[in-house]
Amino acid sequence: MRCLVVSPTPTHPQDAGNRGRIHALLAALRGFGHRVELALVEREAVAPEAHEAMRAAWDRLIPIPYDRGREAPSLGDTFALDDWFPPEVEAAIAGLAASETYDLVLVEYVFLSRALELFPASALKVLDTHDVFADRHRRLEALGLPVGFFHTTAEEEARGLSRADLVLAIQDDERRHFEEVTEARVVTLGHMPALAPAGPAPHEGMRIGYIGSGNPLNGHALEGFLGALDGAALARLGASFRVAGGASRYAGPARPGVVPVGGVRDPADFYGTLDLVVNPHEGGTGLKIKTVEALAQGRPVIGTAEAFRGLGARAAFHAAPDAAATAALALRWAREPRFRREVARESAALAGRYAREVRRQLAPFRSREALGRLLDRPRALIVTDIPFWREALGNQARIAALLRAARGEMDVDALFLGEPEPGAEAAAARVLGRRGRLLASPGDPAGRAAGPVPPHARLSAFERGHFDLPHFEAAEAALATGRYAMMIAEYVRLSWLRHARSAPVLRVLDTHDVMSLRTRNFEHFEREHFLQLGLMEELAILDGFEQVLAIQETEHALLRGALPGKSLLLPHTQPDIPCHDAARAPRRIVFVGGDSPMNRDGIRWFLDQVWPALEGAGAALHVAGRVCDALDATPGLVLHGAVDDLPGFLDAADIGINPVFYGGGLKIKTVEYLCRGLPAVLTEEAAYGLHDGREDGRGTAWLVARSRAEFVAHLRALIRDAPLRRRIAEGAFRFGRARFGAAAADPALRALAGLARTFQPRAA
Amino acid sequence: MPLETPSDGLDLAAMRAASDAVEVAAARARAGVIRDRLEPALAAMPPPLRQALDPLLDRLIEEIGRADARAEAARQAATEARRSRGDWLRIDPLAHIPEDRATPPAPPPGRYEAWADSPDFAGFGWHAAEGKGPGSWRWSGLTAAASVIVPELGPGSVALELDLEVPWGLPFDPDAVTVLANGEPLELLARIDGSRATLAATWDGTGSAGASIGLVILAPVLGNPRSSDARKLGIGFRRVSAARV
Repeated sequence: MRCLVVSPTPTHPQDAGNRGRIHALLAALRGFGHRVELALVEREAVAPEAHEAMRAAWDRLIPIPYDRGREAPSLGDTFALDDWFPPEVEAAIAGLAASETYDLVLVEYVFLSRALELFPASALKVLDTHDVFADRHRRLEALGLPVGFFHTTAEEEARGLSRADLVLAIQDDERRHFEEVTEARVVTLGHMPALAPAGPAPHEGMRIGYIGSGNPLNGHALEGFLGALDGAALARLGASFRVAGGASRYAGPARPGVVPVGGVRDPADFYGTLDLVVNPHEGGTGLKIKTVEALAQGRPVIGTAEAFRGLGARAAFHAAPDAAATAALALRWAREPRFRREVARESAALAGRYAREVRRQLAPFRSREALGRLLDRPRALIVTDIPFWREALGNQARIAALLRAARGEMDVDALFLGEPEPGAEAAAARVLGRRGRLLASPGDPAGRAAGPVPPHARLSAFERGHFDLPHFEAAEAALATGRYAMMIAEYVRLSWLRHARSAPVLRVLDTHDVMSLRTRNFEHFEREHFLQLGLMEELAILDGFEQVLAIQETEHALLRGALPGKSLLLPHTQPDIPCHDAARAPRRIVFVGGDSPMNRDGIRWFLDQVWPALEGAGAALHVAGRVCDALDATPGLVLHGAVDDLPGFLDAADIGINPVFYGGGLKIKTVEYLCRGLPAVLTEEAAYGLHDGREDGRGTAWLVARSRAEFVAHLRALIRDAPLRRRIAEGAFRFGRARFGAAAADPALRALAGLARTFQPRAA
Repeated sequence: MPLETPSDGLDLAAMRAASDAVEVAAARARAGVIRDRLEPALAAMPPPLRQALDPLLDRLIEEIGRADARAEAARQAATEARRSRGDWLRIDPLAHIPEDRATPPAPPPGRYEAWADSPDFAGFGWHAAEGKGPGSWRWSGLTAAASVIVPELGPGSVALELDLEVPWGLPFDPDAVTVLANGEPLELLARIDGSRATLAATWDGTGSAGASIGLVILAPVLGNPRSSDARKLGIGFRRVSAARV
C-alpha cells in the first residue's frame, strides 16, 4: 500500500509519548512492506538532524509550514474543529491529493481531520485520535489545571471523527466513547514500545522511581503520592524514592527516603537504575505512556487504576484507587519480599499480554484486504424481550454488557419484543452505539398470540409453548431486509426465532442458563421452576443454532462436549474499576438481589440461621434491590430497596455475601463482588461456573461456605482478620479482572464476527 | 486451597468459635422470648423494686435462655436422625448443594485435526465433501469467503496447519490467499506442491478461555469453461490441524 501520513507531530526524536506512538505506527506500516510518506505539519520546532532522521526513516518527508501564532479559538472559550487547519495547510494537502494517489491516508489528531476530506473515496481514510478532545478544557479546569493544546466541543469532535472511514482510539474506554458519538467505524490501536527487558544496573539499596515532565497533572499526582509516603520508613527499610525529569520540582528538597534527581538524558538510563517504577496518575484521558514505557523496559510497576487504564491489568497493585494508596503499596513493596516478586511477575506478564494485544490490533494493517475486512463489519440482529437499556437487573446488565462488547466487532441492531418506555431509544443508543438501532415489536396487546404457527416454523413442543406470532412476524420483517449476517436470540424461550424465514445462516442463541440443568437444580431443592425443559430437548433445540453462547465455564464445557464446534464462552463482563480498599475497618456487609425466589430464599435463610450468630461482630448487613420487599425488619439489617446508584452502594461495602443455594447460570452479583475486589463469602451455588481447572478461586478469591457453621466462621474471620481480608480482596480482584474484565467477552465475539464475515460481500 | 480456610476442615479453632457464636445466638434468642413473656409481670412491679432486681433478672433470664438453648440443642440432636429432608433444607441447605456445583469441568483438548469429511468438521461456505477420509476435500465458492471452525483449545498460542487446493489444476499462489483467525490476518508459511499447499501459521491466541477459532479463508473464486463442472469454485479444503503451543 502507498500510505500518506499527515501529522502535526514529528516522529524523531521519540522524546515524547505521542512521538513514540506515531513512530511505532509508521514503522509497523513500513515493516508490513508499505510505502510510507510523512506530510509533517510543522507545528512543533524540529531540529535539522530530526528532519534528516525522518527523511532516512520514511520513503518521503513532505514538510508543510505552519504558523502557531494564528491559533485562536473561534467558538468563544474553545476551538472549532478546523481552527488548527489554516488555508495554507489545506492548499498544500489538497495539492498532494490532486497530484498523487494513495491507498491509505492516515491523519494524526482530530484537528487535522479536514485533510481526510481532500482525498478521493478510493483512499482508505484513517484518523488516529490519540485522545478525547471534546470538552478537554473543562476536564482540565475541573482538576484545577491550566488548559493547553487542543480542545473543542463534543459536536465538533464528532464531526471530525465522521470524516474518517476508520477511527483509531488509543484504548478501549475511548473506543467505547467514540462509538457513542460517531457512526464511523472505531477500533482500538494501543501503543507499546519495543520490549527491552533488562535487569537494573547494580546499586545499593532498593530504588523506587518516577519520571515525568513538570506539567501540573504530574505534579498533582506526585504531590498526592509524596504526601502519603512515609519516606523515613522507606529509608529504614533500605529503600529510596527517586524523581526524575521536570517533575523533580514537585519532590522538594532531598530528605530521608526521597531523592529528586532532576533532568535525565534518556529515560531508559533512569529506568535502568530502578527496581520499581510508580505511576500515581489521577484523572485524565488517553494512554499513560510512562506506564507502557516502564513495562517495556522490563521494570516492575505499580500505580493507580488510571495509570493502567486500557492495558488489561489484573492485579490490585495495578489498580490502586489513588496516589495515596499507591504510596502505601510502595512501602509494602519495600517491606515484603514476596510482594516484590509478585509485582515483578505480574508486571512482566502484563507487558507480554499488552504487547501481544497491540500486535493483534496492528495486524489488519498488514494488507488492504485485511483492512477492508476490518471495515466491512458484519451486522447482527439481537432479539430480546429484556429491556436491557435499564441495566438494573442481572439479565439486563448481562445483555447490555454483551452489546457493548459486540459493537467493537460488529454493528448490532436490537429488536425488542415489547413496548419500550419513553426515553428507551436514547438509553439503548448508549448501549448500541451510533451504528446500531433499537427496533420494537409491541406484540399483541392481549398477550401472547400462540398461533397460527406458519408451516415453515417446525417448532419443538417447548417452542410451541413460547411461540408468539406477532413477534415472529416482526422478526421476519426485520430479517427480510437482508442487512443481517447474524441473528442472536436471548434465552432459549425465544428459540422459535430460529425458524424465521430469511434468518441469516449464522443463528446464535445466548443461553444465559442451560435451562434443563437449572430446572433440575430447582427440583433438588423442592422448588418448581417456571420453565420446564428436559436436557435432551434443550440440546436438540440448541443444535438448531449454528453457535450457542454459554455464560460460564461449566455450562460451556457441557455444551462444548454435546455440540462440537458450536459453544462459545461469553462471560458477563464488568468495566475496569479500581480495587476495593480492604484496609478500612469492616462496617458494611452487603447483599444485592432482585425479587427472585433464589434471592428471597437465600437471604431469608441467612437472616434466620447465620446472621444471629454475628450479632456484636461490629458490622451491619445492608441489602439492596427488590428482594428487600420480602424481608422483615431485623436487628442489624438495613434495607435499601432498589438503588439508583448500585456502584455507589457497592463502593461503600466492605464484605459481600451471596447465600443463594439453588439456581443456575452465573450470579451477576458474584461477578460484581469479584471485579471490585470485594472480599466475599459465597455458597457453592453462588460460585457455580467459576471453576475451570486453571485457577481455583476458593480460598484465594472468595471464601466458600458449605454449611451454616462455615458461613459464620468465614464472616467472623473476614470481619476480624485484616490480612485475610486484604488477601481475599486482592485475589478476588485478580480473578474478576481475568475472567470478567472488560476484554473477557472479546475472544468469543471476535470468533462470531469472524464467522459472520464468511457471508459478507468481498471488500474492494 | 490454603490451610487457614475452614473449608479444608483443618481450622478447628475457627469452626469452634463459629459454633460458640451459634450457641450464643441461640441463647440470646431464647432469652429474648422469655423476657418478652415476663415483661407484663415485670412492668407491674414498683419501679424501685424493678430497678433493684433488673441486673439479677437479666442474669437469670440469660442463664435460663442458655439452659433452654442447650435443652433445645439436645432435643434436636436426639431427633436429628428423624428430621425430614425439608427440615434439613430449612436449617442448612448449603450442605445439600449438589457436589457437581463445585466440580471443575474437564479442560478442552489441546489438539484438533479434521479432514474435509470428518463428522466433526464445522464451517460455512463449503460444498459437500468429496472423497473419503484423509483423501477427502471440499470446494468453497458458495459465499464470499469460506470458514473452518477449530474448537476451543484453551488459552495461549496455537500452531495451525491448513491443507488447501486451488481448483481446476491451477498452480497455488500463496499471495492470493488470506487467512483470518478470528478476524486477525495470519502470517502464513506455505509449502507448495502444484495446485496444493500446506499453509502453516502460529496464532498468538487469546489470554482467556472459551473461544473457538474461526478461520476465514479469502481466495479467488474461479470458473472453468472447459470443464463439465459448471460450478464457480473457490479454494478447496482438505485438512486442518491445530495444537496449543
